[in-house]
Amino acid sequence: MQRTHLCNRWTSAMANVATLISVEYDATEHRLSYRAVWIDDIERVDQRIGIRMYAPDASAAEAGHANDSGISHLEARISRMWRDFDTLRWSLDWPAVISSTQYLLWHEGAAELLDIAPHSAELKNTEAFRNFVAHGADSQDLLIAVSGGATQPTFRELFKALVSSLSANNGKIAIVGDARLSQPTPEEDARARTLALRDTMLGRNWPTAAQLAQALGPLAENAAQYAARRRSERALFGVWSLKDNSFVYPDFQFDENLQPHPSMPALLAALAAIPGMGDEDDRGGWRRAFWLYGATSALSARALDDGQSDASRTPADVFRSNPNAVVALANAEATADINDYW
Amino acid sequence: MTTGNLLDVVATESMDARLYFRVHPTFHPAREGQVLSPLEPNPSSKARLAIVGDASHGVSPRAMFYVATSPAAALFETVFRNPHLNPGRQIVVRWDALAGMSLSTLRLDGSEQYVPLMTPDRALVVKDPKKNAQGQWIVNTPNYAETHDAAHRVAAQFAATIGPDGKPLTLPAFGYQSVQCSSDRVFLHYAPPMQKAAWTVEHSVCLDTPDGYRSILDALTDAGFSALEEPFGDLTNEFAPPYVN
Repeated sequence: MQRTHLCNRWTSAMANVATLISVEYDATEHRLSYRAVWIDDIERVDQRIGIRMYAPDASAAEAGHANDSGISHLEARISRMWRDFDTLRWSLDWPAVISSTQYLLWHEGAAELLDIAPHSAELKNTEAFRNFVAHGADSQDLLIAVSGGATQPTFRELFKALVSSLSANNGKIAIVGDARLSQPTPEEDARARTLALRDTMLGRNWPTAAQLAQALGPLAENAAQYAARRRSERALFGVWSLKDNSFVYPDFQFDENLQPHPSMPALLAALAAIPGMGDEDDRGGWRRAFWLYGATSALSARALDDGQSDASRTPADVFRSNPNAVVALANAEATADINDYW
Repeated sequence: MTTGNLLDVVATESMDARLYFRVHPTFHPAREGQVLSPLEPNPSSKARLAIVGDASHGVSPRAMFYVATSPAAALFETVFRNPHLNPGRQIVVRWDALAGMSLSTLRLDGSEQYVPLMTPDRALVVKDPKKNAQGQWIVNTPNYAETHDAAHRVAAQFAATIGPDGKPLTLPAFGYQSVQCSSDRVFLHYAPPMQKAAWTVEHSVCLDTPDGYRSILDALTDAGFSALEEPFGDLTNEFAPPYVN
């Protein structure tokens, strides 16, 4: 199955309203997938986020699908659930998906399918184009550009045009993108790096609940229940893995028999006292994971009086040999006074 | 830690007239709802080299005023003071650390003096190798409380020195290299003698806003770091499981 990420729109959660819309095209099944999250009422005081999810199936990673037979049904869903998007305009700053043959031009309120050739020289000079080619362009992959002039289409308008093009071309055409092929914004870069770092960490094959349960021998509950209970008891630290649809367990906390370190409750209690790192604010554990696997000079050998090296070390590196130092560091950050740093 | 005088020579250098950057609370910590002037020193500072006061030795606390030669250095001395750096000099921009803080651009118009603790300028005031090592330690240690005694002792050295006008000197400021941004400098002034009239506010931005966030991203990039967006688990389920209603 060949999947092409067509576009997304992301507004940073630092603003009062955050949105994420992404669309993918499955060239094998000629299927369009989309997902969207619309969030408002971000309360910065207590860092809790009020959330309303507008999606056909909020539990699915991809919230909707369309194919030749389901387009009208999809349209109805969009109209019913995504009325808010009437006010959202497609930005010209979105990442582009480039193709080898054609692209869709939004022009004066209508979508036109155009040949890419007249613009190929300009497009091929872009980093986005080079990236696309490097990842393998296919004859079914099309560039889509949106060039709306002063008036940009709303999400629904453009989505409708996209669906129409799919239908008219037997599902072979689907692309939305950016005529200017601009670089990602710094905010998009920051998010992409965060995702990449998360994926790097997940690539370490940290143990799953099943592996932990297996190491413990027969249990009175199943592996997932055991791990969830131990997490809620703050005896075990897990991070959410979207691709596995489950938690996995960073290895710093275990001995060679996969037994959690006895200082884990103290560490997790201390971390929970750092603003933004409580169990509710950090439900997936990633804020704590980045803290635990980020090097700090506060844990250098010299700072801990156990050597002369000034090299920064991560809490994960130090925890097994000196758990008290890591707990103390978390406590210090939790109790920091504003006058400590200005 | 050594005792006695920290400096071999009581001397100062002049700061360059240029732009500096300061991170400070947006609102007055003690007066609810009142915007804090970017030029307002902190009378309760416990930061690096703060003179927090020592009643047993008759030392009164002195207000502090930090500036740095780059936005990144100002951030690292304050809201990112003990950063956890992930591989590739990546740092998570934590929303909670930014809440209620601003970044201001200030122009120094007048003349301000400082005690140089950066290398090689430190040689102007420190000749002894042990004192030199201590001078390096107090500008590097992440434990700010351990530096307060050193500030007291240097202030006492100044007070014990008679100036050209026949009056005891007053420690004006320290200058040192930023730990994270070694090409930048940080200056911490004591008030008094710091004079607000020597400074002009060019620009301020609240860090906990989209503009502030962008300024942080730009500052980190300029300094050779990469920002990581704080993982918000609720947006896409990338970082946390879906809520179960």
